[in-house]
Amino acid sequence: MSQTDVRLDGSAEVRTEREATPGSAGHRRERPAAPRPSADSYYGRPVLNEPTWQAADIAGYLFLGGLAGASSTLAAAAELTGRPHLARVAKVGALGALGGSLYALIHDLGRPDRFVNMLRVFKVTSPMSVGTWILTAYGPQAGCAAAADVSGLAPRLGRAATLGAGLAGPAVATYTAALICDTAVPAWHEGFREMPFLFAGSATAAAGGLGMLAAPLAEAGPARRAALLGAAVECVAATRMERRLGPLAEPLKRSSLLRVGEALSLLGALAGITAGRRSRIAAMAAGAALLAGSACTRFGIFRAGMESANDPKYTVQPQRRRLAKAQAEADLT
Amino acid sequence: MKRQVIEYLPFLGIVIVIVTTSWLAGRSLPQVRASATRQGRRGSACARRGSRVRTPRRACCPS
Amino acid sequence: MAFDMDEKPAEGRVGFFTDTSICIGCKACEVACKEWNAVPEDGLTFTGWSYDNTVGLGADTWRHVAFVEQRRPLGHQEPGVGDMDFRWLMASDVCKHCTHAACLDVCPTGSLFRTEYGTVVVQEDVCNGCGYCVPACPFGVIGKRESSGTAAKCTMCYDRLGAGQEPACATTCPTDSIQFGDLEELRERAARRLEQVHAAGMSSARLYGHDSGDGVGGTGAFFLLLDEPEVYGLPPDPVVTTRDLPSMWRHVGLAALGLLAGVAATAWRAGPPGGRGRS
Repeated sequence: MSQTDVRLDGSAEVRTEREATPGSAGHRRERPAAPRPSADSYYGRPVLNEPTWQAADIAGYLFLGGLAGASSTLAAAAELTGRPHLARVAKVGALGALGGSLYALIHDLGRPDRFVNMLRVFKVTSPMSVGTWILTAYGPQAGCAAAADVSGLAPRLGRAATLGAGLAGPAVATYTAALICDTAVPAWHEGFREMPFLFAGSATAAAGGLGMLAAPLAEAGPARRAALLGAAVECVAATRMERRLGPLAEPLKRSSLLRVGEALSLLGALAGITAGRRSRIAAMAAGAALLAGSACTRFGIFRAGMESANDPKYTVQPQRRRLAKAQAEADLT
Repeated sequence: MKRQVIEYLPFLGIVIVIVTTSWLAGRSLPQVRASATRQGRRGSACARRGSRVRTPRRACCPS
Repeated sequence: MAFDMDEKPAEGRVGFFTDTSICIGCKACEVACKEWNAVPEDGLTFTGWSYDNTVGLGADTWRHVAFVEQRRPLGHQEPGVGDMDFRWLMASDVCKHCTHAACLDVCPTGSLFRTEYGTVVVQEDVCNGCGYCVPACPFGVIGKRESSGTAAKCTMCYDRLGAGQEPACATTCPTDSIQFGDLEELRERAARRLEQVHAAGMSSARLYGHDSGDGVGGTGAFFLLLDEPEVYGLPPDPVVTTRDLPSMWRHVGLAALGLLAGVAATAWRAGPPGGRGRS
């Protein structure tokens, strides 16, 4: 602030105008003016263009797709081991999550009317193309499984669809890791070794949470154990990823969403396996915590990736280090 | 801020719909006996075969 | 590997050689590009970044002239601003038309394709605006256009090439800083020019994107830069993201099997009567 200390109220400690020393009051303000070109970026501007994906749609889809896929697998497991309530809950949940996924995916397109253009080609180089075909194979089966179960019609077809969806489910839940890792976004791309396991864990925890929330206690055993397993895998994968990425992990470590997600998942899983065995209320609370935890984790990963794309240092510095390492190796030989 | 919240409303709505329909679906089948856990192996084995042996009683099921 | 890698760019691949050492920052390339390709207005803003107004490449900016002011001498030149060393680096950036193009690899509709000239072009009538190409590009070139909802980037004036003409930017460039031609020939020309610039005392000059052994297999549009690439907003060692995709798919497969086995195990333990688990 560059105002003088001279005031109308003439309070004692204020200097008179005559004694005022030019430039003595305040200090130079922070200039909001253009950043100077620094040594390792162009005016601090990101090297990459920011992903145009909306968090509510795409991070939301990461969560919903995971929930759908893992729920279908849980439904198949429940059906095969004679747990009809858990099976029905998971099938209906999977169908709902699938519907939500499709809404989010289509809503995020710049031209939603051209959604079917995805079906023009099959490209293994494009996880989005592969994912489209996975969803195309999985969707009708998940729908058929839920419809047959609820309506009671065509039990054999329903059973076949349940098993089919159960087998396709893991692909639905994990391909999304390749989807975001197959980009130039530093925090996503470099985390590609752990991301599929993180997503698989998070999806399993969410599906377990939904099972605990909606299925009766007597049948929710697999849901409780799946939630515990999923939450544990998710946390281990996240920790390993943060350790391996080094400086690139900063946006992940800074993310409060990720911390909240981990805490909710672990708390939910532990509460589920203890109090959730006896009390329906506790099971529901634990299930809700698991669902919220999984969602927080996905949104946290999404945000951290955006942050790493928007800061040129996360793009430039790892590449510099890579060049320096290659140079050093070349010098040695 | 307000706009941000609005952007997330469809997502929240979807999640709430999923949970509710799923919960209702679980209630639409005749309930198993929740006390099966404490009744030991025979009880729970029966409950697990619930697809065939439907237990019509709801009385002892909490919530 | 990039899956696009086996596809050898056709004979007669064309490209740009942008020699930034003779760029005068007139922005005629930006204007010509906009005029010819009917690219929408991209913001008339004062950035305060020297003379830069267009900030960076995107859906509505296919040529971008960067202006970098440095307190360093330019070769043996006397800057004429008192005792201060000063140099002004200007560079016209453009889509690199990579040999291994990540945007093309990840496009789920096949809207992005490689032309008979070895360039990479978006088919606007096929693109559904999924936006996957935007974070896939390691150079931050392609963007999603607000007005049409589809991806857009430099086409190297595909329509002009078909008519035997040079791209608009290269045609208009008054100093021939932007040179268009057969890629092999441009590379030879660039190597000669680099020697010349080095001999003139610009030891920091280097070529960027000319090496077919780099992470994107060399670029169709390459540059002679006078400083580190990141100074111009270019990544120092870009790698096509799909190079790691086979490994990603393996990890995904493993995780999917793990999920299946894990969920099966949680149900199995309590499954058959007489099992030791409790439910």
